[in-house]
Amino acid sequence: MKRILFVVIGVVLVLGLMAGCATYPEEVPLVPPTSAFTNGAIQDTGNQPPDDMNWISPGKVNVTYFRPGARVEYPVTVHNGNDTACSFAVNYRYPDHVDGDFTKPDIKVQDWVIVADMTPLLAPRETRDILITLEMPEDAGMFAPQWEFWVSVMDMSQGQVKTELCVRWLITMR
Amino acid sequence: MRKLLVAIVLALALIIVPVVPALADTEQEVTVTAVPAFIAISNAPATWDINDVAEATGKAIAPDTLYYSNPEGDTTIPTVGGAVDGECRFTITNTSTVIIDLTVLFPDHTGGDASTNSETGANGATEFGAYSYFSGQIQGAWVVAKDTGSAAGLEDLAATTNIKWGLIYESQSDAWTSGTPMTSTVTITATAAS
Repeated sequence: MKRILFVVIGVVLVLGLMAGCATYPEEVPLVPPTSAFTNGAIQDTGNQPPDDMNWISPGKVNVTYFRPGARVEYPVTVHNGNDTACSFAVNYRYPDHVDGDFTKPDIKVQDWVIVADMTPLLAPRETRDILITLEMPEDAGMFAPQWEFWVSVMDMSQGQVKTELCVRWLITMR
Repeated sequence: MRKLLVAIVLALALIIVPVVPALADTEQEVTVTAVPAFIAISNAPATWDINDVAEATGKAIAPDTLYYSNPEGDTTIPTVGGAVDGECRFTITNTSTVIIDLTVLFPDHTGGDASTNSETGANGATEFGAYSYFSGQIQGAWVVAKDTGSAAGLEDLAATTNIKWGLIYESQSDAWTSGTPMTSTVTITATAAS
């Protein structure tokens, strides 16, 4: 009788371990679905700025439960409101000021942000998605629980008083 | 008895197989969200020729002098109790669909004496001081325009609301030495409000 009980307990433990190991072999950093890449923001609102003005979308990107080794992507949509083709500069931007409890980023963050096309040439009235990727190295230290960086978009055809449009990326660590 | 134990084992196994992974799932997924919104501003005019130095003969930029991008005169201070539209050279046309903040950067000059921004608003030897002001703001609310890291010059501008603004430039305290022009490219940045 005792032997049977030991066998029962053993089988239960082995099954449990097998089930756990088989389902979660390792921690996999997640990439969000790419549906946002189809300009979902624009389709959702129907309240766009005029076609003859430069604009970007979205205004803020919120990333939560971020951690070393993780990678996320989100596009910035850029519209050229000029009547001529224009070159834009799309860059990582150290923020001038930050939101509430968020802090300015570590200097290394600029190496974690990849802009798919940093100098897009947009045709008159063209709208284009530029993919932004944030990838934190596995061995990177966590410098703050919440931090912020900006993605800058600037029309390079402007004069000496320029306008710059920025997307705020707000990162909350796990 | 043996059949009963086998039945218990199978029942437990069936329960544990789906439950254990769920218990092991302590990892929270990374999430990315963005609210549909547009940031859209334009600015006009795109230049400020301080004291009309390049547009009128006999004009110069004197050292240790305050200049304002004030259509009523480049040495006329805007109303300290609240700048009015007529005292602001620049107009921001704002068609953003969300509330925005505006931030002004006034970088170091290039060429000539290459005067640098003191980052304090006050001038000094080889250093200029700079502020931004927006229509309606009292003097105490005018914000230092730095080379980098300025505070927001105007917070919480309502969606689709235009605003007029200006610059204050205090030339370096010591005399010019090069005698050749220098330039700086000012940037006004729009971000979604905090």
